[in-house]
Amino acid sequence: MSCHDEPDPLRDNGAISPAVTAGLAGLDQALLERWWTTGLLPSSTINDDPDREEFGDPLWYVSWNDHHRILAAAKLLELGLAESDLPAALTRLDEACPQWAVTLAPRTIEAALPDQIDRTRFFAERGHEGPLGKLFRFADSVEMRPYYCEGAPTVRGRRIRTAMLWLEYPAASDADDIAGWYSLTAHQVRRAVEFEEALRVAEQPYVPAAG
Amino acid sequence: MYLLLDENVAVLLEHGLQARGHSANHVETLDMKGESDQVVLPYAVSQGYDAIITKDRYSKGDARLASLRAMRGGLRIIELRFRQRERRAGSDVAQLQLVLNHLEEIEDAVAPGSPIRQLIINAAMGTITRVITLDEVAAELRRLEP
Repeated sequence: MSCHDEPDPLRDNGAISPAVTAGLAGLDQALLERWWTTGLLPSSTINDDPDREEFGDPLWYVSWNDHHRILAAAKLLELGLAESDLPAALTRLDEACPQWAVTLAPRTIEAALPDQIDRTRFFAERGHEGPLGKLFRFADSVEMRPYYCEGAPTVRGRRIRTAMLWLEYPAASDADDIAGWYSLTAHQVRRAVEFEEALRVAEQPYVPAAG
Repeated sequence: MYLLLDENVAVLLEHGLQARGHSANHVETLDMKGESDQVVLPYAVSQGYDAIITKDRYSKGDARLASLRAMRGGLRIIELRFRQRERRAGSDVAQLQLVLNHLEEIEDAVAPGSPIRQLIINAAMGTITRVITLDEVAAELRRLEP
């Protein structure tokens, strides 16, 4: 894929929970809050649902484009970029291509990547991990697609959120039971629940690099 | 009533609603598993379904637009909403019971001339949290459509 100048519907699509993105990026959710409030996540939006608090829903949603920008930003930090240098780095990349984090086209953005970054490693790891980030090991059973369930993690090939299965799992006697409710296999249910459990463990406070 | 049951509600609802004299089809039995909202919602309108029963929010972006257009086209959306941070029982039987408890309100919503386009049923409380009308749908579409 390459970059293009036309408005990209992927930019504003998606309503991913910040907790999900934080978990998949291995970042503290508070850090994402800070990035959002300081304008680093331009296409993410406030959750204007009046029942938000009643249902314990997030205050804001991460767009599909920003989800990928966050995963890429986490990778840049992991590869040695200082957090203080991140805003300028993201601005340069956005100027090179607004959808750079989704398309990951080396020819378009390689020159815009910070000098101190191992570029080969950046492209290889981000390309391999995809939208599941740190939890790409679940890609056999879990996927994220921008036009399905607003980008949230789902059972692969189905429009069933993994979070829903995790939420309902205690009401079932076992994986076979809940699999029967939705015509899934017990393996699909178990992997979805394992993914959700891993997501809750994966969120780690980011420790800034020295200096 | 002619009801479409979304992929994310239990298949049991199909049998439970049919047993009570309603024409209900689950996405699973229509062989539409894995189809996006942007396919399922226009399909429901084109097939003349009165309502879709779903757990989807259709909060933002394309999904929101698809849901608003479907409601403008006459489809009612019956959303079963569960709390995020509570591991509430959402078993297939509980889902069916929740819908059966609100059948009367759903029938009112799909009645000819009813301005109601969406009912949000709070699964934990067992009550209808919100009702969205055609006027509200039209107002939001005016803001969102190019």
